Amino acid sequence: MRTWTTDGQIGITRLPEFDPAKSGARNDVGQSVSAESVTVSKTGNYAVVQPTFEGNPHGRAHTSFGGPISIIDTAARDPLFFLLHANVDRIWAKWQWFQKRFDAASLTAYPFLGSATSTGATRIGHNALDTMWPWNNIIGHPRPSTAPRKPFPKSPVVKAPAAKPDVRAMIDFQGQLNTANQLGFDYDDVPFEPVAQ
Amino acid sequence: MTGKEPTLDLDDYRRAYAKELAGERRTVKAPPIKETVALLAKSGKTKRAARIAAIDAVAERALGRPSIMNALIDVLADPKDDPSVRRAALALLRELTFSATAFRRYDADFRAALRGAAEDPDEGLRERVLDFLALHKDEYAQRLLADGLKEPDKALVPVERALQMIGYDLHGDHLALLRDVVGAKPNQAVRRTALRLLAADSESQSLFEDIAADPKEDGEARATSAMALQSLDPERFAKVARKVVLNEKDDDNVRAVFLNGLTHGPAEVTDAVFGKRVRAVRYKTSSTQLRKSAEKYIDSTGGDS
Repeated sequence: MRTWTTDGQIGITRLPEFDPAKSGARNDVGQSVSAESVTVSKTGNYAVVQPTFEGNPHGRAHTSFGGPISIIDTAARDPLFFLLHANVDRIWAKWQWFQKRFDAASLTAYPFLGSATSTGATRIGHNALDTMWPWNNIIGHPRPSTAPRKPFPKSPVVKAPAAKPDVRAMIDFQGQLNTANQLGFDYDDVPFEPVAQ
Repeated sequence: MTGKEPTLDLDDYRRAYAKELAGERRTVKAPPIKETVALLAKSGKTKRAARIAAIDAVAERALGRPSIMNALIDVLADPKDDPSVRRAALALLRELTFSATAFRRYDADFRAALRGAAEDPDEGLRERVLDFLALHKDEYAQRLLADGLKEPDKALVPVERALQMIGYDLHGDHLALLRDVVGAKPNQAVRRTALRLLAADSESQSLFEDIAADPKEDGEARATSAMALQSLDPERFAKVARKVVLNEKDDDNVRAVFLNGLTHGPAEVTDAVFGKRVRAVRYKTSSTQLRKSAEKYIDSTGGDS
């Protein structure tokens, strides 16, 4: 990573506020990043799981360091950002598997089933029928002012997602309900276990 | 490979995982909100552990409850309160900023509390506060950090940390300060950080050239200087790099770094003589890293001899 350069700066500034030689990411006052089990064991709907999940482990993983990864504006400068978020996605996938939540039409799997203009919608880009930036090529507040790398590239092995993916397409990523929904990736500790229909 | 791949028994896997979850789960009953707010308001060293535990227990519900959020900010802002509890409050507040929309209403009060704590006697609190403010390009924090570099008795954090934080929002008027830091011949960690931050400074080209070329210099400092010089003046870098690469008395790791720079850099012109000598380096060196770098260079220049 010697040549890693972002925003014109060479190198990565990342200072753990815990002892990296020990597991648990526990800081000097005993606060720690939640174990996977805390999130996965939540039996409530996604609406119950998400707020805590976003705070801890996600937010707390970010802030268990000093440096750019610890705030939203600069977190992606640090390559660890991508590993952190891949793990967040893995924990979500593990919750889906353990709690059997793959039906994108069900509130138990995802609570915001409409679009940003629907009654009870959440912020734009987070409703099931919202297409996702940058692939939707929609710019301007609240989205960024540019949209690089659109549309979503076609896969040689799977049909999903569409050129402008929506949030709903992420729910049945394994193709549990319909193999056409498969996104073409998985996690090595999240098995494909058919959900009883 | 003989034998069948073992198949995963899904039922067993699920059962084993459920058992693992049951074993790890710690049910922490969150205290009532009013009780938590009252506990947080009790400043002083008594009940430190209870107050920190309350902060953790209330984390899931904090954002939806102004009474808790305000109590956390008040704890952070109170210079007389227990530093450990204040650090715990700060840690939770930092974490909650990742729910940006919900946190927005608390931004101004949080920022005011942070600024108030920027010169706190507690080193751990002070450093985290300044890091957060500096990342947000807070001018007050930047001023404090720059003052600390100019006058060491005003320093609020160690020099290397101050440099890193200033680096989050580098201004033109910081560059002279950074050159002074390098010139004062500090320890290597500080020097390396200052050199990294100077990477885009065109007035530092001669400094980078001198450091890159000197076998007596620290290897990391040389590598950083080389990258900076390459970015500012690729041809000037190439001249230095070739001498270093061909100097058998120089450090092999440094030679490899410089050769990689030539391989991937914009200014490399096919030079038959140099190419031939890089081949000789490839065969003569016992360093795996240098040999691989030489091979990449030769491949990239199309095998010219």
